[in-house]
Amino acid sequence: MSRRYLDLVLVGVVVLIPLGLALSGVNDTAWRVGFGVPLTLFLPGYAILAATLPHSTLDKAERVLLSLGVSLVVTILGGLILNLTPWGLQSLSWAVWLGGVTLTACLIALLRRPASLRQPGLLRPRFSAGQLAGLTLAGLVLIATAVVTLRAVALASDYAAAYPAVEVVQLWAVPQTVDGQHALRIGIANHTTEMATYRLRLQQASRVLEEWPIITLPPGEAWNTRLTLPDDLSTALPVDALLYRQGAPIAFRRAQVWLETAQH
Amino acid sequence: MLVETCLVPALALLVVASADAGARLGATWADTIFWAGLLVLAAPIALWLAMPDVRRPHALGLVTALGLGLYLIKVLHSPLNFTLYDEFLHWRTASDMLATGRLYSENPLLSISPLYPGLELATHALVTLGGLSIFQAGLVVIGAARLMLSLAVYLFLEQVSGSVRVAGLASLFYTAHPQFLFFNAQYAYQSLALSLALLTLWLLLRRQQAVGAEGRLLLVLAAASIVAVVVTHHITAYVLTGCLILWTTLAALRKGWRTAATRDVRWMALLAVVANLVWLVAVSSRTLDYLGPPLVDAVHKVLQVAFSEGGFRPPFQSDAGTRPPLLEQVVGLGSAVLIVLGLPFGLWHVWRRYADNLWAVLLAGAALAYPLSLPLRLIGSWEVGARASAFLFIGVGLLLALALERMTRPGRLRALRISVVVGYFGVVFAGGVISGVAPISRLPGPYLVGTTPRSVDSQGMAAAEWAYRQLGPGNRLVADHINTALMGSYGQQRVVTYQSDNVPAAPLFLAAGIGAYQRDLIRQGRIHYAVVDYRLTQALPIEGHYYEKWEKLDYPYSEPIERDVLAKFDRIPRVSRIFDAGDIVIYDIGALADEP
Repeated sequence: MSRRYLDLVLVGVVVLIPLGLALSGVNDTAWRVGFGVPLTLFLPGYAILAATLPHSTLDKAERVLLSLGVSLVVTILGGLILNLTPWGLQSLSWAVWLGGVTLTACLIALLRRPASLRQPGLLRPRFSAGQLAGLTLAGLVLIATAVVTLRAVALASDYAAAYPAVEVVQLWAVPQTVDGQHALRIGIANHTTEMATYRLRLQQASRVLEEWPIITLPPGEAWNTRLTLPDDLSTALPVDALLYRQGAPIAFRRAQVWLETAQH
Repeated sequence: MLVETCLVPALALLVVASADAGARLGATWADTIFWAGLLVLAAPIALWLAMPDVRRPHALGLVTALGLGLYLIKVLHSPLNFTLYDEFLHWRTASDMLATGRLYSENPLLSISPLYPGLELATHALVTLGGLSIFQAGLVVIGAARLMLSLAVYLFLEQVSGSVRVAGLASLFYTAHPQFLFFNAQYAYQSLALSLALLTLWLLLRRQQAVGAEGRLLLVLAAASIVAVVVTHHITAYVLTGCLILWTTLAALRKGWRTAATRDVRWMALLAVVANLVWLVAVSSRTLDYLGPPLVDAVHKVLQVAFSEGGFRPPFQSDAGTRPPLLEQVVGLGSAVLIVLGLPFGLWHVWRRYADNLWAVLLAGAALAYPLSLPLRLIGSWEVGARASAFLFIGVGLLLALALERMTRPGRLRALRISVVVGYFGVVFAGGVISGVAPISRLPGPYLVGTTPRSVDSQGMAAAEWAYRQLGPGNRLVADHINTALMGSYGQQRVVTYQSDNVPAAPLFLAAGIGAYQRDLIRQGRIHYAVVDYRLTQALPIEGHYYEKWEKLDYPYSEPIERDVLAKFDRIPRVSRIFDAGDIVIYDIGALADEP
């Protein structure tokens, strides 16, 4: 194949992959990011320019700007049109719209590109050894930046847990009605960075309705259950869910539900 | 060229990342390192752009590196989640679009956002085709918009000035406007619309050089871009339209109607007017209700001052009455003074060299409007003045570039003269950062009361995500300012607000008890849940309010809310406490609506 069509062939390949992924329902993010992002932000504009301006006087920077800009414009205006169709906004309709626009433009560009045309050069950057070294070093520095940032974010979570003991531990008791009976959806979530063991008690006044003496949760995990409440419970008193840390006598989280007003 | 456009900015970002890391861990040196990072990024680029022999590819690369570098500074601030208030508003629109596959869903956080879906359409395509989250797709879209903006500003100013050096310097000064670093880098509709608007203006100018099919295509693309701006952001569309109308008017007054350039811009102005009207009538009639109050408020404040009825606010004083450090106030003031002093020189150059260039004349007019916007900050209309800077600074950049460009030409004491230019830019740039972002918001860090991004943390996000998973979406709920944004976005709840429902939240939380008025509000708003964030009792809100900006009129306070006031729901029978995360508690208050 003549090299003067190489860029258009590459564009076509990149377009067909997300189109195929959308049709086949493949959800592998790595594949989708690699091809979906260019299809949305660059390729439609690039192909349209190639199709409509085979003899253009635009330079590289102008082509980059227009490729980005036209792609965004095509996406925005295309979205307005897709909204009017029965299919609406979904991956397949986007793939068909953006892929269709790009492939059509590529085909037109293939037909219109003159034999004497030099490659626009966007696909043929030339770097010296020194420049490549500089680029590599810059890339390494950016990777270091990402590592520093993400590590700091992770450390800050620990720091927040220690100063001043900000424990994101959640307790909930959401009333429900199941087959005409009062029930509660009870749950605990451990958003700290350490394994934790809790004791949970459900009571109305001094009457203990249920107790879970040991609930162990790894960091980031949740526990929940649904409990149907006894029919003889008073609606004039609330039902309390009390959460204790292991071995602690005082509850550090408290939920309270008035059955009289339960609406779920 | 790769050293200055890639390696040096990468090193600057590493320095800023170190500052952010230190700030997250409470280091006192973080702010100094942050400014050092900005210096490493901006100063070399300013120096190279001030060189008399700067070539076009170099200038373009430097401008782009600066624009993208400053964008990445914002990303490093919050690399895993959105934390700026407006970002949650648009996240909700994007999320609804993903859930429904349709446009124009109701957004209780910002009712106008779904009516300008440009940003969310691009996000939706990236999410569905690219498999990204809304946050990741948002970063990519705004990053692309920032790249476009950097290129478009340079190319547009190059077309206007006919000079690589002027365009480079002008683009450099454009990055110094107060909203460049954070506000116009956030996931919000203006961030995208601004780049599309600059693209439009460049296309119209570039079209004048193109002939035949190329010229026609560029005009078609300009027309399409105008429509994209109209459906993306209201104010940007109106400013773009106004700009085109002004240019057409100037052309009619100076040259007559019948040049090719005038015809093109005239038709684009007409298209812009028609597109705006059609969109306003067919889709976004609520826009006038949305934009009206801030503008009326600004006019009201101007009249108050004009008729000596008071209303002055000291410079640099926030809504909460705090001020930045003295050095920052000096630099901020110095920046404004330098700009005001530099504009007349730039104006003189426009008069001498560009008097027949209507784009230059238009930009000069915009630049002269900039000093007029500064007093708005002194009368409490900070937001109107700050928003205007994103548009007016294109003219400011051009005039300052024209004023300073001659100082960088070869000759005696060239090194000194270039140093003066770089120093001048440094003060203006620092002043922009100081004016645009409060000191406590420039860096990440532990929770602070009543201010994004520092009030957005894992607790609030976890509570919002819990509400979505356990309560389901769409429950009517009230909360403070920050938790309203989180519950309305990540929580997918139907937050009840004064803006959407005419129901204020402050009386429910700041009053000592729940009386007849509060019960009326609960009924009127059909409120089911109340979110209480007990961290509000730790300090006064940095942005001046916990719930609504006017809450102090009805509930004056000079101390933080008392815990006992917020805990009133625990003492009311029939109010269930369904969620307890320590600091954040959610109450089921729906039963109060049934009580007299």
